[in-house]
Amino acid sequence: MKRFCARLYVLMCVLMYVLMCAAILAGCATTPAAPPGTVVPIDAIDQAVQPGVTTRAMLLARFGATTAIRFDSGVEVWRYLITTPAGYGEYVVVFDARGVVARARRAPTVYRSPPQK
Amino acid sequence: MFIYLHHPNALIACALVLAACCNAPALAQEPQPIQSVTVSSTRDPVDKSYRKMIKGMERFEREHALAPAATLRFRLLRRISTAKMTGITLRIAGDTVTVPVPVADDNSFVLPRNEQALREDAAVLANRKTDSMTWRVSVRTPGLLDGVRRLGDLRLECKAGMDAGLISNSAPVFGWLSNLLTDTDQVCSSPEGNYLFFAERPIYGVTVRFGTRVEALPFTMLYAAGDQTAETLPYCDCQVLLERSYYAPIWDRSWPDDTLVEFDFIDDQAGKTP
Repeated sequence: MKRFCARLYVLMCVLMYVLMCAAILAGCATTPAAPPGTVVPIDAIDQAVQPGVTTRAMLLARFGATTAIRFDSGVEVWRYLITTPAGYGEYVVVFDARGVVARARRAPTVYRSPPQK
Repeated sequence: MFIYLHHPNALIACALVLAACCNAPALAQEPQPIQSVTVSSTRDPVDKSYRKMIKGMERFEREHALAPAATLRFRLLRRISTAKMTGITLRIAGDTVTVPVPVADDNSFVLPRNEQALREDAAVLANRKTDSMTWRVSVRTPGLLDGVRRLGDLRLECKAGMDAGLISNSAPVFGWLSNLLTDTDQVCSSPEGNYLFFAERPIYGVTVRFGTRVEALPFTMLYAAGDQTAETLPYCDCQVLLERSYYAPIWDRSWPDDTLVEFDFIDDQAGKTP
């Protein structure tokens, strides 16, 4: 019986180990770093984006795919990167459910988390 | 990694299973009279713990200096699209005690303190499946304009919300594990803490402002970091709230508590913003 219990204990420990690894991998899978967006010239994209006129297909054809998210409502938000003297800013485009630009904004400087002390 | 196996809780879990298994044959050899057990109610695995929610309220009182003029309420938000968010009733349910909890029209509520419910480790139950709703603490300083939050309020929401055990972001099988590995101060004081907040409407942009210092939150701090997929979204308590979700720089002490977090919503005036 002692040997059986010892084996069972080892088995339980191995099982715990596998579960821990799976949990950590699952955690990693849900929080990957956001893929870098496509870098575009600020003047070019600012000219190309016309609310109520420009479509997803038009931006895709001209500047390529970039970081994007789609909501249940059909609204999509795309994020392009723009170069600035300080590094990178972002150009954010919101498409309505029809795939037409509803709003667009540029942020030459965005908040960056300070390094941890 | 191996060190986790020596976590006291892990060892206790192993020992309990082991003891149960090892005792099984002995029980089989000596038949015992059959005992009946009456179960008056069963708890949903994600029912909210009354004790934990009271702990959240106690944290609010201890750290009230973060938001001196604010009050605390709990709030229920729609998590899945089919959830009916009208006519919600709540009760505190222990083994022998039941206390109704009035729910306001905006689905917020204040939890009454009841010593017997605390002793009985009661649950806070809604007349909805608990995982059809997202539960959050709401800390609001009065007098702010619509679409403006105060960073100190958000800091306190995180701390009280974590202590209250309201976040349910993990797959159920790993829920106990996430409890082992998360800690209120760790979550609320680290950029990796990832405590999700929800705005009132779908977000277009968020600006953080204190005096002349003004910065926009990047895309990666909106929409639950913008990297949720159809596979991962059901495990995030943001689900249908995704377009309203954001991370605030609560961990960054270079922003004082009086910093304002200002929202521009998707359905505000359409057009291009310089």
